[in-house]
Amino acid sequence: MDLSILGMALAIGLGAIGPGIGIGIIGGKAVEALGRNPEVGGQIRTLMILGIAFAESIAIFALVIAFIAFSTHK
Amino acid sequence: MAQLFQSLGINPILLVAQAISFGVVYLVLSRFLFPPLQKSLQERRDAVAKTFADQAAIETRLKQFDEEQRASQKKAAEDVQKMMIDARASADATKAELVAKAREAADAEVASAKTRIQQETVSAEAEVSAHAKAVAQSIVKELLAEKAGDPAWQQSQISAGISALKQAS
Amino acid sequence: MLEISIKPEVLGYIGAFPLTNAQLTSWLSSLLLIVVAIVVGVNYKKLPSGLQSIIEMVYEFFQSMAEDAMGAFGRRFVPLAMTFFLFIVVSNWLGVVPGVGSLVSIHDPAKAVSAGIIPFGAPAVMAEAPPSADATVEEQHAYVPVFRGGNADLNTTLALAIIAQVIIHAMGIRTAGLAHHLAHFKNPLEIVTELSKILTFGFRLFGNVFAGEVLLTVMGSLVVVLTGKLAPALPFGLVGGAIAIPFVMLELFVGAIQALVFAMLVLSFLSLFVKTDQSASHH
Repeated sequence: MDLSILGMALAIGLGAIGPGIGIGIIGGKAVEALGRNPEVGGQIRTLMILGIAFAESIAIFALVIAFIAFSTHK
Repeated sequence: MAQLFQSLGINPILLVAQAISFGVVYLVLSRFLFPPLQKSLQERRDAVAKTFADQAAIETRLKQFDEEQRASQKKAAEDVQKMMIDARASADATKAELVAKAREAADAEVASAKTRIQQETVSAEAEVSAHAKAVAQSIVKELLAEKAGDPAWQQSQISAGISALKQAS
Repeated sequence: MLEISIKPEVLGYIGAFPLTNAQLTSWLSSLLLIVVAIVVGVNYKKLPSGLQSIIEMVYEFFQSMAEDAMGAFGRRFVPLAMTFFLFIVVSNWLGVVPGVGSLVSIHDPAKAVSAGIIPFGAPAVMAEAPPSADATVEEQHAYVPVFRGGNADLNTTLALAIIAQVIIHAMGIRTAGLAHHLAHFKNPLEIVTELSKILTFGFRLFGNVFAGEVLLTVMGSLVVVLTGKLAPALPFGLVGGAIAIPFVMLELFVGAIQALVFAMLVLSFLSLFVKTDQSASHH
């Protein structure tokens, strides 16, 4: 098997671990905050989506690296 | 770097083309879509604000009206109370006058009754004493006439008459 | 097998301008947006209904967000944020429409058929690249999708990111003054942060949309991938399409969320640099 395929798989696989944990924490904390202060639910949701977007972009970088590895090996 | 750009398909011409197409979209939207949108939203906000202002004005007027009504009610109640107090006062005065008059009349009556009683007592006493005198004289005369001879009897009659006289007086 | 290309494919050349499939789709979505905007804007009704009420809802959403971030001063940035949102969301949703990515122009009929493409009509002739065009996109493909989601092209997303950053800093300079604006960059690391924002803006959007398209392609051809056989394409295509339906829903959601995130990030980065009239608390 081509090593670059392995590299691509590892890049996205390992790169998704951190953001996965991070998004889980963000979502859980947002729900906690929502339970504590339901009246500011809109703001919490907005902040949660922003936080998730930041965490997710790291996974997306890993994905882009994976695709670069995939498309440059040819 | 150039190789990376190439492998990612980044092309300055396309970049600029996309920027221009975004700019065109922005210009068209801010020429055609956003002005009526903003105007309409502003109008709606103004209308809502006006409704709220109207409501507030109506509420103040209602409150004012309520207050006026309450004040007039209070005034009427006060008037009534005052009138009642006046009436009571005048009634009290009348009563006191009447009572005083009645008492005066009664006092006069009592006084006249007392004098009359006194007069009657005096006259009665005089009558009784005159009557007693007359009775005693007649008795004395009779006794003197009938039993003048018996000195002991005379003596007893005399003492009896004296005691009777004493009693009558 | 599947042909996944991270860069947009060239359909032809207009002069020296390489017309890529992503560019074509992006123009289509811009055109759609412009037509809808003009139709809604010209027939603007006092009592909103249908599309107009949705647009008003979106506008008010961004307005409240801008007011949260920058107070009443933030209202002037609502059109910008909303244009970003609409541009991105229309483009993303157009990328999910069936036919985008699956409708191909065939250049090499033999290879294309062996890859499972059903020929329909005459094979297109690959336009000759003019000698002046640079060599970024010259690769011979057996077949090329005619349409590709506009944001599945780094050129689009990076262009949007650069526009956003330029506007953010221009507004910072205009409202706070050049000296005050440069005071943000006493630490040279801040400059790196601002430059990396372009990359995160661009790559986040590109990565999400492109990953979505790859996901849809893989799911649509899951049967072919798993069996490794090119059986009669039509029934397999139907099965693949059925498998892809939930992922199409997911991509519709992701497309809207990414557009929202882009617009929201523009607003919140603006609030970092823009000096509002009321207070100097933002810095």
